[in-house]
Amino acid sequence: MQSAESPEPLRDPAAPPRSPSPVPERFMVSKGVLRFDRFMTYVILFGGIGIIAAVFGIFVFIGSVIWPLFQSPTLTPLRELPLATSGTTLVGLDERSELPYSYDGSADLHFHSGSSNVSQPLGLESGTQITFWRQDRLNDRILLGTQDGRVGFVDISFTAKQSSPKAPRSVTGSLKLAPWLALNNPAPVESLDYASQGERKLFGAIVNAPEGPKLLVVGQRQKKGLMGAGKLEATPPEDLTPLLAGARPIRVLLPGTADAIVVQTQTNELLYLFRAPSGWEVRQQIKPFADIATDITVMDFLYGDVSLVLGDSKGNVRILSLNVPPGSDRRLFAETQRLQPLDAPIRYFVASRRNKSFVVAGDTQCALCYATTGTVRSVLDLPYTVRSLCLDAKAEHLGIVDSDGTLHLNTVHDPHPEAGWRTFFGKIWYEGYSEPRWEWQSTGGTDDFEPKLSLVPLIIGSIKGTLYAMLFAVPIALLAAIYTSQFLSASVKRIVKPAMEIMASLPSVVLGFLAALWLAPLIETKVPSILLLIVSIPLSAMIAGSIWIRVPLHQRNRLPRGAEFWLLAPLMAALGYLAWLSGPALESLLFVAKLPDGSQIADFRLWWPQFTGLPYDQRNCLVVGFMMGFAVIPVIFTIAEDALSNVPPALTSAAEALGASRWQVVRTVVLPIASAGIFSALMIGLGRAVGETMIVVMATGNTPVVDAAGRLLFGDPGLGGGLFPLADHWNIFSGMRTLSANIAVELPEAAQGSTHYRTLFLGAFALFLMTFVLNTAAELLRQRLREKFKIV
Amino acid sequence: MPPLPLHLQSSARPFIEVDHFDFWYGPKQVLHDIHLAFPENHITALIGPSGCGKTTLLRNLNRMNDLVDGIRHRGDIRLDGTSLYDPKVEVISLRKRVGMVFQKYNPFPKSIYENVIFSLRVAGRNDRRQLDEVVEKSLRQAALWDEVKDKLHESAFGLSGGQQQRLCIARAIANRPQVLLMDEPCAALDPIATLKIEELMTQLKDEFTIVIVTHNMEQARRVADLTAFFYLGKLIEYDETLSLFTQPSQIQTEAYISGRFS
Repeated sequence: MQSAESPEPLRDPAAPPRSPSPVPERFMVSKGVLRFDRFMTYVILFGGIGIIAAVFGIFVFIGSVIWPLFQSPTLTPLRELPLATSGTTLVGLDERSELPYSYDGSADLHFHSGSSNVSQPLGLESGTQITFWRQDRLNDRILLGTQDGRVGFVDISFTAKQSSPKAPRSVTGSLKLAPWLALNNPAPVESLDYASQGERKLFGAIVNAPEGPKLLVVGQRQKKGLMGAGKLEATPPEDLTPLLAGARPIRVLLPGTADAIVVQTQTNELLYLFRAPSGWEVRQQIKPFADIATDITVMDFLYGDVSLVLGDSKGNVRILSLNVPPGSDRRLFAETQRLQPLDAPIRYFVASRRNKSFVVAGDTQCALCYATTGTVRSVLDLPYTVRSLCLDAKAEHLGIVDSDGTLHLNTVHDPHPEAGWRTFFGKIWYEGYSEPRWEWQSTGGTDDFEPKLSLVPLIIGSIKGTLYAMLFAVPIALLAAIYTSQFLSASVKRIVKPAMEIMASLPSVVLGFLAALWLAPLIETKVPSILLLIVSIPLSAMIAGSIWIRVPLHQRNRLPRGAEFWLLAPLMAALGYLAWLSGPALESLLFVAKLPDGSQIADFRLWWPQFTGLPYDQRNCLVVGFMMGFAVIPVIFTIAEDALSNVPPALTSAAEALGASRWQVVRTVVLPIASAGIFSALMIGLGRAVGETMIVVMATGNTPVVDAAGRLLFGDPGLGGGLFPLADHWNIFSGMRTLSANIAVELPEAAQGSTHYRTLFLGAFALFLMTFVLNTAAELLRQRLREKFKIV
Repeated sequence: MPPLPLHLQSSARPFIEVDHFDFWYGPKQVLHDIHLAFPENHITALIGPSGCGKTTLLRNLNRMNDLVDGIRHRGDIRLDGTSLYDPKVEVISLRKRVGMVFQKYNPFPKSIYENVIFSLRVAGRNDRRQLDEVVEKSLRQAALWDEVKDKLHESAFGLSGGQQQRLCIARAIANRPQVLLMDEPCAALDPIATLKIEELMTQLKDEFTIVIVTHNMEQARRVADLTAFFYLGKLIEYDETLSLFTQPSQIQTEAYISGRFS
């Protein structure tokens, strides 16, 4: 065996190596061609990588905008200040937390500027003894109640001086004592609150009279004069103790409306007293911790004075909100949130003056909470025992006083307290609502407005808009594509195809404009006509078909291929016109609504809500489906028609040669082979419908409603009650707001970096994710179709 | 009455008669006064250089040219005595009578089984046992049965080119047409596959009237009983294959068969 033989048996190893002969000039590739080739290679490479990078970049950008929404708050210690006073119970902070103040019930208020403590007298006349003091919820104001049954307050104001931009600021505080109001019951004040609603002002107080504690209110009215706000005029105090029915009041709270009082009794009940025109009355009596034997230790209003935060001695925190329960016409308190219990009893509470955040503390625990979502955002376990809490006006600094009288100042960083999965996708019981809901209402008219940032109504809006658009567009576009590519005579096809392509290039703002200003008012009164049209058009095709097969064969054979169009088109137009005209007749026959005065009127707009209990909007899904259909039809039609026309003629003629009729050729050969292309057409159409913005912005009314579609998709699989359970879920006659429209409408007015802004980006991300998942699934399916019907 | 070649006039019956047939694609006349008859149960080959109109004539025999825009004809073609252009003729049923095999094999993207029974399916015949029988008979006649009997339900695209063309033949004869038109059936095939298909044609002529268009004169000589030579849209010569190839009466025929032009 010669295993180690040379691999080149043809060459004689002894012969000298052959020098390569030169390649003739004409076989050479010119340098320019090579250079251009290489250049184009790089250009294409750059383009390809660029696209991937751009998509990825958008992804990263959106991610970076929405990421902070899901971050936990941070609390960082800032500085510590020893408060000279002992037994301090009240601390407060100025705007920048430069000059904290403390008050302990004496005749002086203390300002603590770090280096020095300044005491300022409140200006009490001698002999006045303060028995109750608390901080006002909104202002730098301390409410005061005296030993002899007088109530009043002292306002603290700060002035900052800064000689040059680089010089340190010096902040000084000043006090202004308001005139006292007598409760006409010279007994020590035990609890006190004050509310001011424009010209109406009200004090509510509990005094410990010798015959027992009494609940008293005293009001003030401000007279308006020509020269602005006039004198305050006290109204006589009222004794509300009889309303308590013997219960011992221990704490009062007045909402900012100055027309109600919430009283906590010793039996841990709350009484909601309301000043009706006829006088004070008990509106509600509730026991918030009825299910657990415990004591209410903290009760205060949140910013906005609509929700009550209650803390108990076992660490539970519950929130009660005012709302109008179904079947009632009065605002009553109902428990809306229960927070994760803390380990320590709740002793101290302070609410933010910016949003629905609040801080509760007890023993050595302190928790930052957010009321709307009912979440404990951060829990601090402190190395000291808490004696008092304060937050500055911007809720940026949290001051905690320990048992040694040291004030620990912390910086609070929680820019998006309202964000969270529950906010965006869960049901939340908002203030003023009678039940938990999905709600999108990002901005409101007042500062104490509670942003409602549920994406669910928007997602449902997107799905609904897309669904109705596709429902309208897909049958028309596909049937038109099949008819045009397979049946229509070539001469008509030469007009139809470019016309449809021009339609695809119609700007959607034009379509939206048409939908909003022309179609919506037109459809509004013509629903019965449209219903008849939907029936009459397929019917006319069927009639035309049955006429066509009755035409004798020899006459049919004389006509060119595709000639049946000229029979079908006029018939369809005529029947359609007839249907349009006979709409009112159908309306007076079937859609008769009863008016409140007993008379009857044939109007679909009135009949629909009466019959189904669902709303009828002028800008509804029908309009959107119709107009968006116009945007989607040309896209689907063009691509599907191409796919159908590209089926190899070899296969269609093979089928025809085997005696298949034209429809059989379409059904058995053309449709399966074109199925992957048709599927792409549908997906591109779907993508257009999902992302379509201008038409929905203009034609939907933009109301983010969750009708029962939400129930179907998110949680409640039951089809609900009602006469027409399905219509209840997909009411075609109501409006919607889609994710894309929401972004278009609200992004220009969202403050950059705000929760609202980031949530809009989250909406964009949700939209992106929806289309991504849908498209990926569709692509996988399309690949399978293509594999199944590939022609090679 | 178009004539059959002399020697067949007594023994065979003309099944297709092309009677002074002219044909235009738009303004271009591609067939000039074609006048001939194809005998029943014989193989007739149409030969001639490219563009001479032989395929056009073939495609007129089952009115496949109807699919083309702007066609026009004069004269007549009769199938078993009935004109193809009679207004009472339903094209679909005509094509059931006249099967066709195309130059490039064109099975459908379906299983072998479904390909064979396509013509039965579109005729609405769905009886499973009957279909099974038809599949076996057609595939056996197309000499494909032994090669595919174990993979009847696999895609037809898994077959080789020659097998696919035989499948197309099986598909064309499944519904037992009376005429089988073959448009250069072996043009895309290798010699072995060609040979198989030629054997097949000889077997099939007992049952079908076969008209075949071919560029391959050897093939015409091997399989055809009769041969017609076309040139520039005209029928130049039509005779028994052997005599046409050995003693052509026209000079153009002689020039063509001796390879002086093609």
